Amino acid sequence: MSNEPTPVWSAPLLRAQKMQMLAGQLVGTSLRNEVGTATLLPMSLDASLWQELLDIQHAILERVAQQQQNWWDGCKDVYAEYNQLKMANTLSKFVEQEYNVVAQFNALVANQAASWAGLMENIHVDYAYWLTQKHAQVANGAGGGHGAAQATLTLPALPDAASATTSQVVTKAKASAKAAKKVTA
Amino acid sequence: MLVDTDAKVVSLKRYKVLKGQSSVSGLSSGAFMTVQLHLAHSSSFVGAGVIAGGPFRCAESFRAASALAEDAYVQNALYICMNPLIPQTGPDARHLAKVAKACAEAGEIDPVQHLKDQRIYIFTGKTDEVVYSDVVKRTKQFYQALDVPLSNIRYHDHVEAGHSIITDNPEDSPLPTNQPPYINNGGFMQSHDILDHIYEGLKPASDKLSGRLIRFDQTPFFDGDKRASMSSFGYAYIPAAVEAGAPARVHIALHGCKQGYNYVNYVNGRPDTQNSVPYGNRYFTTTGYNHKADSNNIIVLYPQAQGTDDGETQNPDGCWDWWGYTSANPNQPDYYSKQAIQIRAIHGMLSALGG
Repeated sequence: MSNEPTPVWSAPLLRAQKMQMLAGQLVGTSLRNEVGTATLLPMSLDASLWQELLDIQHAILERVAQQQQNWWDGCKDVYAEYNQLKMANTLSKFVEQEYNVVAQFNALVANQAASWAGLMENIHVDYAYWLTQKHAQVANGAGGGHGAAQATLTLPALPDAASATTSQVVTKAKASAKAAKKVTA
Repeated sequence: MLVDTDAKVVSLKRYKVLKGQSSVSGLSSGAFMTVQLHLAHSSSFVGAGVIAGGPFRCAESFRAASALAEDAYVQNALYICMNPLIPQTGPDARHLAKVAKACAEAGEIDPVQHLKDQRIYIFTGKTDEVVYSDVVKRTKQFYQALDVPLSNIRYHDHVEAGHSIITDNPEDSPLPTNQPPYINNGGFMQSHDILDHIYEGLKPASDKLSGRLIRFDQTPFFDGDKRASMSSFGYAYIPAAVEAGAPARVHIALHGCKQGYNYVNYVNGRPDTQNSVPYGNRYFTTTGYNHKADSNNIIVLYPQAQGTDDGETQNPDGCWDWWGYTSANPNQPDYYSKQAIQIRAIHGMLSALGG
């Protein structure tokens, strides 16, 4: 990666390009997943495949339900916080209290947006990974089990919304959209 | 827990360490790094403890996740190695074991044959929402695929614990929680269990520490390179008997994300240095390792990672590198190998102690 500092004026442009690239890749992954699912039809008699598809759908629904619960719990907490605000003795304290509640609600919205984006990525990556393994099983003539995800795919390539130019740009970007969901383990 | 801490910054010195008898354990990113370090230098170790961690090179499970390698590895880390939708979208232990064997044949890590007599402790909390139990189960399968007999593996998945190392400290978080400082009170010292499994026949932990907690300069071990995302200081507990010349073993204890001594919480994307207190010394003073080590002539080494988020290295939470953020070339990652900047640094510390 280059050690040259990125000019301040270009940071929003770089971030916009990175966002486009990541969103474009999600679209591309969706397309690949749809095509990949169709080509799995020869395996449609495999009960374990259908069970795993159902399990994936169920897992997604569970996470969507949890997201919604988190949203409602967060709203309730902010509402309760506002209701129990005590009388302020100074104007500055009053302003601070009002701002704190607004900031808490904004943080809730931001967290929700990041979580929804993360869930979308989670679904796309996991489904593509699962599809790749199923194709590998078909290619190897194996049934069931956990195949390697390293087999050559015959699925369409990810649309290169980027091209080499964005690839260079991205490597110079000071921040990445992936900061929206960080690895914290 | 009172311990005599040297106020100075010292250099690590050599003790009468029994070569090849060391061990390593860690939580979370420390657990993923434990597996990496364990495999990279298996000839130096007799066992490992993995709390909430996944198998070797898990973050490279699905390169096709993204066009850019570094994006793919982060996405793999999050969505395959931490929160897979179903077990079948988690890491493939058999495939990753084959990858490990290939790395050994290429000389990137020690021969995997060293592992088959070693003792492995693996733990996953039933309420862990950060690294799912399905992933940690794959770590057990990974070691089994490398011919570690089941009798040498102690696998726990029945405790209602969140993402944490477990202690019996009353002030620690409730057991099922998944929040910083990721040290939860479960009524027992997990560190003691880890050491008891790795080294059979250990004496009970000391009630009172006899030794010294030292602060040493870590920077020479990674040449001060920012890419390492490691802190200026590391820590080690040296029992009095070891200082006096008794033969010793070394246990490397690796903290998780957000647990390095100088970690400060981020608010709105910035370290909140004005309001947040750094994590401090909790991990290396309250997790119980020192008391068990004290009565058994074990040096506990606590390397420290720190948060870095400058566009070159994206590791704001101060995690150990298990997805390639330190690799000079993201398309040819080396974070898992003997040549990895963090693994070289930690093994260098072990060597400096005499291990």
